[in-house]
Amino acid sequence: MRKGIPGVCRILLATILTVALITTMFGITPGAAYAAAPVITLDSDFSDWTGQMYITDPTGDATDGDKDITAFYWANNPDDEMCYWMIARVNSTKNVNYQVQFDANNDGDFADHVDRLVEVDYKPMNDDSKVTVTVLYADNGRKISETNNNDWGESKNEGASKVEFGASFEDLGISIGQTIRMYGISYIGKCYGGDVYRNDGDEGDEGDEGDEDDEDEDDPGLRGESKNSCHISDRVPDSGDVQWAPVPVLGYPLLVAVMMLGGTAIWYFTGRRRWSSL
Amino acid sequence: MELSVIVSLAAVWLLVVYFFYRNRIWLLYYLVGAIGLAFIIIFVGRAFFLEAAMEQVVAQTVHQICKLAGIPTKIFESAPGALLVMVIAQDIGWTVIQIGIECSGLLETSAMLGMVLFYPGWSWGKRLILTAIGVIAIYFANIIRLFFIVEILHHGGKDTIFISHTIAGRAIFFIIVVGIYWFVITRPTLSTIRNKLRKEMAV
Repeated sequence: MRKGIPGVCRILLATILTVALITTMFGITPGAAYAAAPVITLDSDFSDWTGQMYITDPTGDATDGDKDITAFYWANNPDDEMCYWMIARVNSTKNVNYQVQFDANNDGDFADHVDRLVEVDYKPMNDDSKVTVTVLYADNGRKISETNNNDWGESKNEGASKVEFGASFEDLGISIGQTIRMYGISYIGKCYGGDVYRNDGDEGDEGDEGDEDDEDEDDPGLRGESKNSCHISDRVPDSGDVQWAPVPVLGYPLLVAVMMLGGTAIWYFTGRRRWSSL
Repeated sequence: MELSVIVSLAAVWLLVVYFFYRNRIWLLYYLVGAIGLAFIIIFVGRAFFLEAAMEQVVAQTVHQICKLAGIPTKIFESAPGALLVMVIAQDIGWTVIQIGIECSGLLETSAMLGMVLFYPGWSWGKRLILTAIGVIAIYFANIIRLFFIVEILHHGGKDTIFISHTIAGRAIFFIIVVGIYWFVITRPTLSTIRNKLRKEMAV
């Protein structure tokens, strides 16, 4: 047997033990990734949203109780140039309007011409639902696309809490790998042409008492209302937004370029003299 | 890429590598062997669980380290590699860092495996040791890179995403990976050459 083999075995064993220790210490369970992530389909079956990206919103912070958002989900499918969202609210049988404010150029300003609004009109029925999704320009509210009367929400019998919807990259004016920002609102009226905030104050502590402040033009929460009769009931997240690149980009051309560089590095750093001596 | 295509290309690659090996054409043997193996690992890794598993492991590790560092983050079972980071600068909000093939370390690990495993002058024992060291070192380099990105984002705000990810994160990772490649490939190669020269001079 060769001299070095026991040493190799020791090192490999140490490596395996180190990895096992690290994974145990951090509670790492890569097994979840082995199963393919469920594909999002707009069908009012919300099981495919389990385990997708989301943020929660506290209950009781909306000015209208039945428009109180509790969770905001987002996702996209492999090889599918669509953004999908799911919004959950407290159980209510009333109709609700949501909007996803979409900052397509990631500059923190949601009212540029390149920015978009995705409006959702959710009408729960007894046994199904009617959902209308409209994509608009954020600066002037002009319509880009609309799809009507889809059964994408829970029915009244199911609690009328959740609704799912989507919009194409084309309608949203984005391309693969582009970083965007977004947030969701529940609202009444027309909301476009500016960054919109909740009406009940920045922190929501004063709740419905924020009506007095509604006359203050310096309050950012009123910018949308004064311009567009926009009454924001709830906002998720309560401040700021969610920054996201729907599809991470590193296509095959870049991959090949990286590998070509690797090949050149092999030749330059390690190969030249050694090969000539073989 | 479909499995049948990968298998066909791998078969052709094996034949070509074997041809160079049998005829002792070492330069082409090494180049074709190393690059081909790296590509096969990448394509197979992307087609099956390896890439998703690496993304998930990296995301989970960074998530746990952030927890220790007091930075709120979230990971998601059905979105492998997605790490949601709370940003506290300016308006409090969230940023999704998507740990894809580039951030998973799969590319660098595959390239390193190809370069080490096909190096003709080393014993298999040495290759395995260097491979193990390289894989672990690249994994930790990636963790350092991502934690650095998270730190900048968390404290610096969303406008720092380009600088933190595209410039600073890559620069840090590049420097560490060059160091790892030097330790795993260049240094042992120089040592091999030095020993060979000494032996020849002694004779």
